Amino acid sequence: MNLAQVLFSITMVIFLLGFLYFLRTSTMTKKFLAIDFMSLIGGSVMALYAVVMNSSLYLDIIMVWALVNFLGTIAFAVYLNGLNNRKKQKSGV
Amino acid sequence: MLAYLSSFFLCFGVFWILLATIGLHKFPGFFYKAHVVGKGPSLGLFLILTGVMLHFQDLATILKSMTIIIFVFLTVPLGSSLLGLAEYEKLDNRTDLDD
Repeated sequence: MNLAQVLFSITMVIFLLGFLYFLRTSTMTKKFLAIDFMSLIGGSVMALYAVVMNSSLYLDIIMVWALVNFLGTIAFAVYLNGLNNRKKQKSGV
Repeated sequence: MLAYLSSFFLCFGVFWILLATIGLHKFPGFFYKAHVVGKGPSLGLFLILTGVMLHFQDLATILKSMTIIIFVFLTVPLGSSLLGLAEYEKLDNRTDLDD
């Protein structure tokens, strides 16, 4: 049980704490913040897994993961802004 | 010697991410939490990848890690700022930042 395995398990627990925040809030924007947070924690989990398995090939996945999650966050933010605009149109502002 | 340095960076990175998680729970409002999400895990990932770079000591690993870090530093604060814009447009009373 070396240091990298201990840090890997601690980071998994931190991922669960981020999911706990997702369950705690009721606002939509805060839930999307929690998703963005969890995606980055997942990236660090992958980096620590590369150290545990002693193979540097697992670093390629982090790039794809960061790209896809960035696009997802942008899509969420544009969608929420569209909801705000529709609400403002309805109320006649 | 390099093993000690890499384990120090790995520990510090995980500790930083733990602090960011606690801050996400405890900060009193949306915009404070957007700051945490934009800045905290980016730096934590940077420290962890520094530890990984020192562990492998390979040119390909160093180039991959630097690419990941540049991309993450460019995109993650942008994403959290856009979420902040979506929240800011929702507010009726713009001087009220806590909820």
